[in-house]
Amino acid sequence: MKQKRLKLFIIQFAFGMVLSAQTVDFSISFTAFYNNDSLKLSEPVSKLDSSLSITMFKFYLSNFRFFMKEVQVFEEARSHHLIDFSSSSVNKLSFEIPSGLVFDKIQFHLGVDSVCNVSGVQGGDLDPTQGMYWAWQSGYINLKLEGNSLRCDTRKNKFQFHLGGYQYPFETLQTLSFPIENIETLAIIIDLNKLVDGIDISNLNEVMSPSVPAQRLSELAKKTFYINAK
Amino acid sequence: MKVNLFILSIILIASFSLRESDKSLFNIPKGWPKPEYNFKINPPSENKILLGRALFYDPILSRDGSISCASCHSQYSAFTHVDHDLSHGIDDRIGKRNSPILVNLAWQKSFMWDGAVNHLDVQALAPIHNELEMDEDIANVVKKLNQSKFYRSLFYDAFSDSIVSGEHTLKAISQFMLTLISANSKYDRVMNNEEEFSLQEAKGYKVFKESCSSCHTEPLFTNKDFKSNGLSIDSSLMDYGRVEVTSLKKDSFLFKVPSLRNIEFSYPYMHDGRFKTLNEVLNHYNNSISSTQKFSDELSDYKTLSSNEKVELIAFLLTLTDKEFLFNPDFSYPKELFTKANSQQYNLSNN
Repeated sequence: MKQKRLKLFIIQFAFGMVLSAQTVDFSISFTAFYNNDSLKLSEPVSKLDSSLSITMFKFYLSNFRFFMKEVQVFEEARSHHLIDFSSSSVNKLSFEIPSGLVFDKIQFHLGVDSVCNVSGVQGGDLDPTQGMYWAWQSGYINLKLEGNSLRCDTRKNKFQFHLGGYQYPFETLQTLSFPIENIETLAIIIDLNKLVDGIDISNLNEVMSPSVPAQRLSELAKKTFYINAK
Repeated sequence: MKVNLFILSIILIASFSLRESDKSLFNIPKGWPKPEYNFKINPPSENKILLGRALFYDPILSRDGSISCASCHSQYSAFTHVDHDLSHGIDDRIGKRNSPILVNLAWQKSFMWDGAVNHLDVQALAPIHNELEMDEDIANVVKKLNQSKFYRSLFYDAFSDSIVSGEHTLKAISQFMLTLISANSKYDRVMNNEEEFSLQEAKGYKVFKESCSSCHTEPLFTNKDFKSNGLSIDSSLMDYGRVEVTSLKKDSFLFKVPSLRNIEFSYPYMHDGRFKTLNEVLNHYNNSISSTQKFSDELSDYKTLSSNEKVELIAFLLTLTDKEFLFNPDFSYPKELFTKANSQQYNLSNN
């Protein structure tokens, strides 16, 4: 009898949990462009410029927070996402948010914050097998952009930007925020031309450690993210 | 509500009893400070330690299956590379520095001679990826481990997941390294009133406290900081130490203060292994202190040691030898485990 009652309790408890945890989906799409052309890896970025191609583009986004009138109303738990454009020019993130949540702004980091950088090894998207962790000096690589350009006088005309660094004086973490008009989806565009055009790639083509150029490139990387205003 | 409390208490009791049973796997020696390592993110378990020990001794971590952690960190030399000034790794490639001892790592704040690694759990990535050491990639290590029935079963026992990940691989290696505690030298027994120093050792201890202990602070025999002890630059290495990590000018010539525990067996000494004997080390402090080389403040009131004092100091330093640590079978090559694996024809290394 006692056991039966316990079973019933557990079922009620579980049902209660499900009810209280009712959520809806909010999704963000990230579409990579180079100027007006959608990004295709290992192909010339545009018909006009056959001298430049991107071979790798991936980055971390973290600490997604939702705001209403500048007050935080929700934050994603364990919020770390590796966005990798190796198989498609569009990436999508889905968030389970409490149903009925009203918000007018979303904020997140481009990169991995300093707490996460000093907390040892982590799994999932943060697992060091993802190739986004420096082995020789502790720290996550926030963003990897690699490609080839005839403007680079390097082996195989390669350029490689591995941007990261969480410690003074070379912090590279960037904060992005976007207004929300539709509480179901948000479409973010990333235009890599804004990064590549912002530097002289013939001079600056290898950045692979926390440094001043890594900071500068990280600030440029932030500017590649935008939304189309209506 | 009642049920919530009931379930909560079951969970609490279960987790509490688990913590109790695992506590014995990691004991803080009497009078020692709180460890730096956060055990909550990687709670010790016997199976994880065993897995970590297997990984530590298995050359599967290297590109061609030739180099294991133990290649440069052997137990009988306090887990350093005995008799090599600079450690050598894969294809006999010579590294840049003398491999550090692996002792009392739970109390370390940062790792490597220059502190390039900020957490024990990510330490192993450095030698695995270094082309002069193991010249491998953690993603490929994980791939090889996933192909091994032997390891898949060890990972299952340790993490209830037979799919190997980078996170679990590194956490297991940490678990084994955390067990490498040396706290039963003659010095420790004297401090615990179980034994007494000889007259010479006692005099040496006095010299130590006057001249060495501000950096080599008891009971760990390191203050965990980075200091310059006035070594001149080796022009074949051009190694300026910590500045290469921080890019801060003030950090030039700074290297981690190493623990002196088991110093009798961890020769040669210094980051580039330039001194073979303790005598040479003490002669360096005696002779170079007046030179123009940059020294950390701690050495400003260093008083030149007489030859008697040097002999006494070395007698004291030898009391830091911990035979129980150097010959502890729990730290050695897991022969039985590997033999069992071979007899079951498990695929131990990558074919």
